Amino acid sequence: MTRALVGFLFLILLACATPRRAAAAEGYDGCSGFITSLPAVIATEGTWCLKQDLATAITSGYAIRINSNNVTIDCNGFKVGGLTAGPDTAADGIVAFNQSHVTVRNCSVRGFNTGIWLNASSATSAGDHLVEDNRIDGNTHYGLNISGDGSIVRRNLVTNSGGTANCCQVVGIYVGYSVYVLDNTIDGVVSTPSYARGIEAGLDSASISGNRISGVTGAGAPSAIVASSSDHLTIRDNHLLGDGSTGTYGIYCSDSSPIAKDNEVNGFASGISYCTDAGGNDSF
Amino acid sequence: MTRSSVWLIALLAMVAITRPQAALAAESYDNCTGFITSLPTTVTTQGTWCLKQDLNTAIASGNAITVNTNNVTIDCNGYKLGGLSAGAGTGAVGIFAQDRVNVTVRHCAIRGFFVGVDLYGAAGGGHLVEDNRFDSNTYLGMQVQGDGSVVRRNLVYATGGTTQASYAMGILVVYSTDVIDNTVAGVTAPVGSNGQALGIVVGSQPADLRVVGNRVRGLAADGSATIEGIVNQSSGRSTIRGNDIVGNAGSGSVGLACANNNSQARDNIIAGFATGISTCSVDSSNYVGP
Repeated sequence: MTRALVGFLFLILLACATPRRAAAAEGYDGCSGFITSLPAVIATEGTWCLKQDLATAITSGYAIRINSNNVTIDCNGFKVGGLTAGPDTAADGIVAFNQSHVTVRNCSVRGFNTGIWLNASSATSAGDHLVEDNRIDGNTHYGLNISGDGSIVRRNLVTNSGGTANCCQVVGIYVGYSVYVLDNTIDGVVSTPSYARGIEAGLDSASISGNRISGVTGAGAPSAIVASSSDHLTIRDNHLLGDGSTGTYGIYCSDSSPIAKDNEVNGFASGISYCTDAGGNDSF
Repeated sequence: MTRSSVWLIALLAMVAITRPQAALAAESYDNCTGFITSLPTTVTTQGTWCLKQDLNTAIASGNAITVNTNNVTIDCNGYKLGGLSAGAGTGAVGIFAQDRVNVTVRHCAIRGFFVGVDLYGAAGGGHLVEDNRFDSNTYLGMQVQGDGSVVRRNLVYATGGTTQASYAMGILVVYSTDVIDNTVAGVTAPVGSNGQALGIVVGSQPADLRVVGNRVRGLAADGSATIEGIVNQSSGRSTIRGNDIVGNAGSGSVGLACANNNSQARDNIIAGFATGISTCSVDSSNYVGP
């Protein structure tokens, strides 16, 4: 057998042994078009996909800005990366301002000031967003910041939020207006200069249910869940782990309007504060 | 090159080519029997019928999609089925089937119809309505009738505004249809109707079903009418568990109402209703608050 033949056989074996791309689990058939470079602006409704990892070094502005209603960003598991801008970046990953019916799914968003920011200036100016199945890693200020009535944030993995020395509070997931935060995992929310919060619900949010939160540390009252302004927000079936440090909160409500039920709160100086206790909570 | 070497190369090449790849996601079109590319349309062949673009229609009556056979899946792949341009007076239905079995509707964004999805008829059943977004349907987000059906993980948002009825509902199920993990956010009765706003309704026909893990809020009645979060009008044996129901504390409002105590209510959070739970069988696991 010649040396060339041996080499050919080796290449075939290598092809067999190399894992196929994980994104094979996604299809491109439903894509209206592709985002192939950053920064990008989407001004046409439809499903806009990634088919490769994308990164940018911008230190301000937005990697992907959505300027239309009815837009889906489907990253097919690929990365929208901003890490090279450094920990003090002011750039945000995927944003929309006062647009409705926006979906962001299957994205790996890393290294921005805010990973995904869907903003509503009022309860009715935007809404019906769906943010699901994303991996949000190493964003310095907010992992997710989602506002707008009827929006759902579910099944996201938010890790290693924080790291900037120049700025403010760090929040894994922030929601405003009537937003449902369901079945997310948040691990690692660190703020050296200010407070750190796993999930913060402001402005009359709707539901925080079935989430898992751990690794929230910071200078000021680190808290797994904070309901800062809510109209009967329901907080149910969440699993919260702290490190037992002084001044930490498992669930902190600004008043008794939010309702906490069936949560497991382990390792916080204060388990559940000021919320209405609807029973079934296990705090230790 | 020897003959055995040739066979070895051929074998390895076949292994490399035929090695299974990861399954494609639902957003792939690989399993689509065909495509729906315009409205209105009628599906008469069983299989999976897909959308590959947003579709809109201005019809004010009839159905955008009529399913006229059994074993049909409508998979919108996240695209929109829109009827908003017909206005508040529309009587059109988004997706309709009567007395069919095994109809599935998934991944659809259904907007602006009188009724978003209507799978109607006692002779039907085995339906699955999942992972859809219903938005701004004017009277009813969806109606699903038929034993053995499941309605799950849907978002029913901003229902109401019709000029063709005097009240509005988020989800209506009839016969033994499970309603699981849905979000009903905003149901508004027509202005001037003096009508009710109802979140999830189980019809009065015989039914043994589960209403589990749903979230209902944002109900707004008109005039002196009342809001009701979950209404079980059937006298069958049902489980209503783990739902979050939030009202506006209006006079006469009811969070969870049952036809009789055959229905068991467990682990529900009910806040902001004049009456928290009416008639259902209850235990201490429910929270009822102001």
